[in-house]
Amino acid sequence: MGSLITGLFILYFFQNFNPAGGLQWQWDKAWFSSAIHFHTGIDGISMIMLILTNVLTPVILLSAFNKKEDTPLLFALIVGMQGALNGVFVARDGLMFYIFWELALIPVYFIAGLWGEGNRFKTTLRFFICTFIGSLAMLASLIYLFSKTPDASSFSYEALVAVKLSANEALWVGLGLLLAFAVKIPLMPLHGWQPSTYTEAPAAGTMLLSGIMLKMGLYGLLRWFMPMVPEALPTFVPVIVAAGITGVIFAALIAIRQNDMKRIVAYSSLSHVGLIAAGIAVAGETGIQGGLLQMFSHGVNAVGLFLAIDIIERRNNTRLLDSLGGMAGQSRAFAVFFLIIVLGATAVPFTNGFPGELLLLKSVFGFHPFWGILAGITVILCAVYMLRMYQFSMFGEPKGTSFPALQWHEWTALSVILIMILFFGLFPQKMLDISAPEVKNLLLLIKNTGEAMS
Amino acid sequence: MTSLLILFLGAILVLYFGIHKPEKKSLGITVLLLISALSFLVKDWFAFISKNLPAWQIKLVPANMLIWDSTAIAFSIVIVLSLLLVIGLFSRNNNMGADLLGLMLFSVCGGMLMTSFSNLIMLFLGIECLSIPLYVLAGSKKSDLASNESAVKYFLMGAFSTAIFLMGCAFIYGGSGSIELESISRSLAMLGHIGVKSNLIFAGIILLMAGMLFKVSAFPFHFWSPDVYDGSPNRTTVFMATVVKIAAFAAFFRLFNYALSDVKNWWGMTLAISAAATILFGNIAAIRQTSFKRTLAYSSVAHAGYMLMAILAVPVDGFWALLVYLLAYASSAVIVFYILDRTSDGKPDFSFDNFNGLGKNNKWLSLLLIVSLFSMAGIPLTAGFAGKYGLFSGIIASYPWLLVIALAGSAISIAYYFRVFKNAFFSNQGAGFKQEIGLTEIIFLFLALMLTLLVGCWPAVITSLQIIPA
Repeated sequence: MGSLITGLFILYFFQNFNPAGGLQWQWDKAWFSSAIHFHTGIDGISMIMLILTNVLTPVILLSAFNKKEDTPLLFALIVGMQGALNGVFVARDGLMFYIFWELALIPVYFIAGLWGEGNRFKTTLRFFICTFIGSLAMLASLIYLFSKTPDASSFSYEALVAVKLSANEALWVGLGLLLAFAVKIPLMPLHGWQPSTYTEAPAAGTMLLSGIMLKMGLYGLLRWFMPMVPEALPTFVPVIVAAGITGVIFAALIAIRQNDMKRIVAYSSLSHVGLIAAGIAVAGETGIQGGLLQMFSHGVNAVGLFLAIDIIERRNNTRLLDSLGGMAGQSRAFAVFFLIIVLGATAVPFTNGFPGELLLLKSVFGFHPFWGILAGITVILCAVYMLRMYQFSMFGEPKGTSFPALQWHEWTALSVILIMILFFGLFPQKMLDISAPEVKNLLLLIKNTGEAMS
Repeated sequence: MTSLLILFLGAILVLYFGIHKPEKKSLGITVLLLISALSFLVKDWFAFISKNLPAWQIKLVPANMLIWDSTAIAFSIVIVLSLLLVIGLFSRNNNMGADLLGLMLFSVCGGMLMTSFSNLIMLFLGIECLSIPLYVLAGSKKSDLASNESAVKYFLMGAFSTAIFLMGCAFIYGGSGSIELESISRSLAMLGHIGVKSNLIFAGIILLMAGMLFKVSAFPFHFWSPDVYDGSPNRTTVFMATVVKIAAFAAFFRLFNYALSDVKNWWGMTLAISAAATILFGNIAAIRQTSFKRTLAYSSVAHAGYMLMAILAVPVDGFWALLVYLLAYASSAVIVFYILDRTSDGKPDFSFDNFNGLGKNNKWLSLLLIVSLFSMAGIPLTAGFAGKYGLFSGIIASYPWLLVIALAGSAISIAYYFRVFKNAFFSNQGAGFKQEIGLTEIIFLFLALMLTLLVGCWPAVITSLQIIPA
């Protein structure tokens, strides 16, 4: 599979990656014009996202075996998606970033439209238009920044960061960028597209969306939003934190009341990313490091959860909690896998969810105790809806007729997820080391441009 | 200028063949003519860049009538190229005889005059030469009531707008004492310099603008276009959407950026408001249509709004952006109209349901449809995005609010472009498309696809020609 080949490339890059070395494997060629380059480079932050993308995509491919959507087209779309995502994470040129950002939208639109369920056309169209509006706002901001570079000569990351804006300009440019990222993350008032798209897209599409694509928004927030408009950060940070934490509580409360397993995970995902966005926006080293770690873990956990739900749904033809139950007795192995994934998502110590969440909470608490305490409630709420989901589906009287044993591709996919959950739960430092030097640089960048302004 | 002669004499030749020989030969001759004209144009382009074009070729001196500069050559190339695509794709299934081909060639001659005029008389001649065959073409489905209706509508409205345009020329002549672009520009520069606002010239500019806005079907003079586009036979509609639009914009661009650029502050805001209204109106009206052909007509109104932005941009940027955008629009519109034409299968029914089941029955045509609709919607890596990007970056410094409206328009346009995907791919009903596609058509479809993708992935192909200012 092509996806594995890319994965091997990334593995090679990873082997030779030096966290402290800054930007590596740069590749820079004039593309659209002398101002717009095809410029790629990998640093610590991109590296984490690349690992995430290229580990999860094969898992997603595995999950789609032996299903009605098991066609060459689906695999082509997923691999295309992987390419676009990798492009987003390595782009060092504003317009190139935008182009890959848009490209990542298209495969998932077709996946959800072709194999989705329910009122899929309306849902996918709403999803597409919502995110497209955000992207266009980002395009406007990027072009505006570009027009402010000396002689409008370069779209490169460094040049765009170096642009100095007046407070008013920074506000508008920041708003444009933030709109794109906030829709994609999604932050609270802009999440309208998310639950229905997650629910109605086929499993592979949902995994792509929740596991990797959301991280585009967070990555954008970190890499493209904060260094671009440090002038306006004092205005934006409280808004982002407030939106993020409100989302955390609100989504968790909704998740508790859901019956559809996919919807529970959709809202839980909304809740988790809200916390990540808030933690990143605080712009401290702890927050960003925790955010990166949590981005990675949330990707793994979300894919794991949707994978498990997909396995359940395939065997029972339903994923409604009130018509499920007793599966723990039917398949011990699956019960163990599912339990560990659920625990990971609940952020129990020694699973991958824990260290990131801890760092994030610490950072939000440092920003303001009020938001910190509110965010802390999420740990309890999360446990409530996750364990409720597990209990209702796995324990009690068996309602499904039988639970056929796991197939080889399901074993493989679940094992990969399991290993990731446990490994990064026990050794989170491995992940933190990759990004630490780059995060320091980024913070310096934000500070410098901010101070040069004031 | 050789190519203009080739096409003009060729048109007569094609008509002659229509009388004597079986009409099949006229198609081959037309294609041959267009290819030779195209190669002359390309040769002219390189000669002009390296300053090897003989002076008599550059200017038709006697009364300073025509100028064969880079703008003229570049737009002529795009015009001839799109006519080639139109004829290659539509001739076989639409029984295009020698008469229609001849008319199209005459019309294109008018279009080339509109790219290269340096005198208002020449522009007027070009518009007439372009329009008169077009009135016939619009009514060329003699037994079809809608076709007749559209011809009459187009003729009445067209004649009316030409009169307004002519009135504008008269006012300009009265105010500046000349109908040559150069002298107009000189006297306007003087007026702008001393800060005198001549009401006569101002009124002239507004009338000229009204005439041109009519030709490009922009708000508030767009009302004819949905009816005419919808009623005309497909081959004429696609001709209007591509060739006519390119010629009209080339003329618009030259008139306002060469002759009237010194008094941009007189007309800039008016044009910007018109562009904004066109974008919004075209896109919003397109959503509510049930006929895809009508949707495309409204979308072409919206595209006209985007292209108006090029006239407001800095001339050099605007020129390249407009060129890329026109090329992108023409190559994708040709594909979309072709698929529309084949799926409707000769019936005057162009609803979205025609596309049902296309995805299952014809994979290649589906791919073409996706790429060209993406290009129209301005999704990256298609030519449409390259064009939009150029326009947006050209406009942002002077009219940021227009950029916001244009982006909003792009977002709205997704709603109706993607509606086709619903029918073509996401719905399970419908017998779908089961017709043969001829080899010639495959070649031309491929050409159009390559243009869309090549310009989209690597616009430097075109913009690197930017050696000299336009």
